[in-house]
Amino acid sequence: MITLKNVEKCYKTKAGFTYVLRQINLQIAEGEFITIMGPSAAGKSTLLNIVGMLDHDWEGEYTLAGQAVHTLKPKQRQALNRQYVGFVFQAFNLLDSLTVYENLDVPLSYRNVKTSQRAAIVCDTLDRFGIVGKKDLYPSQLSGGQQQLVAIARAVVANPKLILADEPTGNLHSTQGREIMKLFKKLNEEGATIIQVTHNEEYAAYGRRIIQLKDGWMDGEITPDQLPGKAR
Amino acid sequence: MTILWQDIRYGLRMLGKNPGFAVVVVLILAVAIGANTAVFSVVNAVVLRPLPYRDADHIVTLWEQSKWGGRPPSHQDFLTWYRQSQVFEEVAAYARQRFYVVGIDKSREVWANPVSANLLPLLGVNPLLGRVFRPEEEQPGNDQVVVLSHRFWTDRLGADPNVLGRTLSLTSDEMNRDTSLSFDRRDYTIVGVMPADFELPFERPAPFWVPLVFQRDSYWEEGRPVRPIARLKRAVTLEQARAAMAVLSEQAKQAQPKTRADRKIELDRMQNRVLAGKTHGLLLLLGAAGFVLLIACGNVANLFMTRAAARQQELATRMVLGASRGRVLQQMLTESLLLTTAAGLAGLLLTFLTVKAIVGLCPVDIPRLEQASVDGTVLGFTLGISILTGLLFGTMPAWRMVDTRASQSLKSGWTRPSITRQRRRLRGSLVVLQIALSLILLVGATLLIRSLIALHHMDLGFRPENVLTAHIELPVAKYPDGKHRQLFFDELIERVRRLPHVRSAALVRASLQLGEMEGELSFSVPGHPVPDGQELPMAKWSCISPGFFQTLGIPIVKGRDLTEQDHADHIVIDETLANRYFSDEDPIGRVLVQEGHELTIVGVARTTRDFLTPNPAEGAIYMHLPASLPDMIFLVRTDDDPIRFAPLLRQQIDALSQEEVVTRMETLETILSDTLAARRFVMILLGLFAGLALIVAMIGVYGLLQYNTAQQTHDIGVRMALGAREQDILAAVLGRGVKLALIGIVAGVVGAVALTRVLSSLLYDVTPTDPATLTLVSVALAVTALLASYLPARRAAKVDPMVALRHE
Ligand SMILES: Nc1ncnc2c1ncn2[C@@H]1O[C@H](COP(=O)(O)OP(=O)(O)OP(=O)(O)O)[C@@H](O)[C@H]1O
Ligand SMILES: [Mg+2]
Repeated sequence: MITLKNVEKCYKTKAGFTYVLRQINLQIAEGEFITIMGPSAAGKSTLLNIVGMLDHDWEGEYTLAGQAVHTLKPKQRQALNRQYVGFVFQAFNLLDSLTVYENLDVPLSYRNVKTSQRAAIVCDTLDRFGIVGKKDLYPSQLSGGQQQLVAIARAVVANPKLILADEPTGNLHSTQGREIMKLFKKLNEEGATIIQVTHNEEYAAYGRRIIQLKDGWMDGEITPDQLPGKAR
Repeated sequence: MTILWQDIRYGLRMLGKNPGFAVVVVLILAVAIGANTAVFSVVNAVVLRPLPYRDADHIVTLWEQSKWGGRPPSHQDFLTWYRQSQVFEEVAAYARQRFYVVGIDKSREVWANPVSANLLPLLGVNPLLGRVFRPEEEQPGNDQVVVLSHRFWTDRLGADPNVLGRTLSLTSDEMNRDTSLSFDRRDYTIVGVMPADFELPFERPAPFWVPLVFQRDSYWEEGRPVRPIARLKRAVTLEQARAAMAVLSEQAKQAQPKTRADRKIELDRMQNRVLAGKTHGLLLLLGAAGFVLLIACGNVANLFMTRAAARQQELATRMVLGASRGRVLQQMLTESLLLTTAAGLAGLLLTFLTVKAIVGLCPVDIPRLEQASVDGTVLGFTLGISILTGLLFGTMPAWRMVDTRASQSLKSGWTRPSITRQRRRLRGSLVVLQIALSLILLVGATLLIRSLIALHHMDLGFRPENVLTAHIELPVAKYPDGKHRQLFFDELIERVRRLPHVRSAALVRASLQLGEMEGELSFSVPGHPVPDGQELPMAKWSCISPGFFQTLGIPIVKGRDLTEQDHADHIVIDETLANRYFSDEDPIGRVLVQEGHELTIVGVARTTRDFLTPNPAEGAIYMHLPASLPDMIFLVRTDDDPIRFAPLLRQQIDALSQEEVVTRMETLETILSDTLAARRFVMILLGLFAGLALIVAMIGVYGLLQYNTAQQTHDIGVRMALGAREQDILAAVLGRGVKLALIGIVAGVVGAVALTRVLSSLLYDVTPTDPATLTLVSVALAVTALLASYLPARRAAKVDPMVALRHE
């Protein structure tokens, strides 16, 4: 479903060009569950943004579902994003002026979903994440963990084929984290392709392949069995 | 002190960092302050300032009210009735008379006022030199004394300090009425000079005053009309005086049931009457300027709030670093004050310019207008309001924040949504207010524009194009009697008619200015008896020469035109009069009776109208009288632009008279257009204010949306990451702009429907709540709001989600 060939990303700074991604080559089939790991500033979020087509400023080749993204115009990329991607941001990025309910409704409102269906879908999702009771609250009235739940719910509400999750469990209690992972697993089994970034080895193990990034380079790929924690 | 200086320097630097903000605030406030102070200064000079007489509050003016309207009493009635009442300390009167001043420079005609001897003492104004009139000087034979105006004294007599005792030669057609149009001159002894600013209420500045003498003649059998002025006794209220006059009117009616049956003596404070009907436009403009000030304040409030919100972070940091709440407030205050002071100075400058412009633009017949100058109180008032606005809104956000959550605001970077929402709503409603107020102003301006257009297209019943008018005043010294004058005018008409490009030429009596074009004539119609005690009907009265109808292009619809052979006993009436009294018979050959003389109708002309009397009421009578008066209006219809013909005509007249006798030469279209000056004046200023209001309100819409967009860059980025298209974002921002505009428009339409009736008297052929105008203005405003929203919307749609998300 996803093919990355020699993808590179650099920032122009005073000191010259700083590369944050180098020669990324990656193949991800439809229905895979991938984990990306690596130290801070390794370029994980950057890579996710490129795959999610939020970032247009990179080099190399990227094919998504048979479409050569690097040849597409920003508008077409956006359309592709709308069609496939659900994104969980590292920093939640909930809309502060909207209630939980309204936040979940936003992605649907941009996707030609009938108004009558929208309410049903939103309620269903609220229910699935156990946040029905919070639907009329504003993000600032929620705890960090609750905010993260809402952010995830918002990413999946439009039933995306590709879920990109940047540390979705960072602020969650381990039981909640596990719940989320089970949910991802279920979504994955239902056909969604998932790429998640995490520092937590337990959650990393939900991915079938674990890609390691370091200083912008791909630093090998392992399976869950090879995780240091498992080896012990 | 050093802290203050430091604050000022820091404030200047902050403003310098954001010069756009500073410039916009200063400009908006300056314009509002300028407009308001200027209009208020004019209104103050004209309307609010008391008349320059002693205890002007107690001075009242009296008149006779009948169903035909108010009018001055005859001198006889004045003497019989007005002086009887016990409610006045003193009752005086004055009249108006044309004089020819002979022997100083060139002879010329002036209007001056005969006054009763007690009038000047009643007003409480003392002469600069000499004395005012003595009671015995009201007797015929003793009356050849004159008090000069300061202006006449300085301009014509070189401010000669020894002027008292010298004589002035005057002649007047009234003094000579019974001596068949010959003009005797009489010498008047100068006994006094009045101070510079003195003039009579209701009157144009007069060059001199003479004693008012009771005198009947064939024309005024009851004596001339006089204007009574009285001073109320200290303890007497206006209502008591009115009641006393009602009793007096009743007595008068009992005593003279034939002539006074339907007349009542009315009175009112002089100040009210002096300005009656003339201040309407000014007050209206004052209201409009007030709207502009409100809009400006709303706008500036928004700008200040926006700015303060943008600096929340900085302020919070300062407080965490140990700045006291007082210091932070003081800093904000200093900045606000810097701005509003600058705006005030700019506004002051604008005011000086605007007052001059308004006085220059204003049609001349508004009393006391020239006295308008920038008024300190007013300036203080508007300055105060704008400074207050700056202070209130410049520091309000700081207050709130200082109050509660300085540290939190620093930590989280956002205020509570409830506060954000509340402020957003406040900002939104300020913009809505601005839109509503500008809609009202726009509707007013549009109504006036439509009225003017309608007036320009009004069917006047005559064709004013290609007509040149020349006001001719023959010097009485050279043309002492009617025969000479008639000869002159007859010869002139003959000569001009032979000139190329002249279609026709005619004469009309000079007092017959357009607007007040005609005198009035009372008449009766055989077969239409007037009930006892009721007044005879009145018609407009024009004395013309043959060729008048042809020259003005007034069609004769029945019968024939007047000819050289017709004299005062043959008349042409207009259709209005004909329809009123001869609706089912042929008026030709019928008679009207005027003071016992039978006037035979030989023709019926189209009814004419002018802009001042768009709905002629009673009808008109035209008669041919010999051109024996010294001043006449000469009318020429040319087959070309009449202005090109003007030099030729002047040359002809000068050649014939061998003297300069033309005092004014204008096209008829110019004269007509001048009668619209008052309306045009209000329209121009109202239009100007409406335009200003629109611009400021649109700055408001733009500023608010721009601010929202800047505040929500991050949210917009998130939305884009969640799949929002450019057009979704565009539509959302435009939608907010349009929503504000629509609420404002609805509020404005409601306001306009309630308020525009104050315009009624200035409107023609359009109602104050004209749906077409309301719709037009609403649509225009909505479209403008859409345009104002477009830039911020575009900017929002161009947000790069990556950059926006990094923002966090
Ligand atoms: N706009 C930018 N300008 C310059 N450098 C940037 C910019 N955005 C990101 N970087 C740099 O790119 C590198 C990779 O950042 P990225 O956010 O992808 O790291 P990460 O692996 O997600 O780290 P973390 O685990 O802390 O989230 C960092 O060194 C960062 O400083
Ligand atoms: Mg990251």
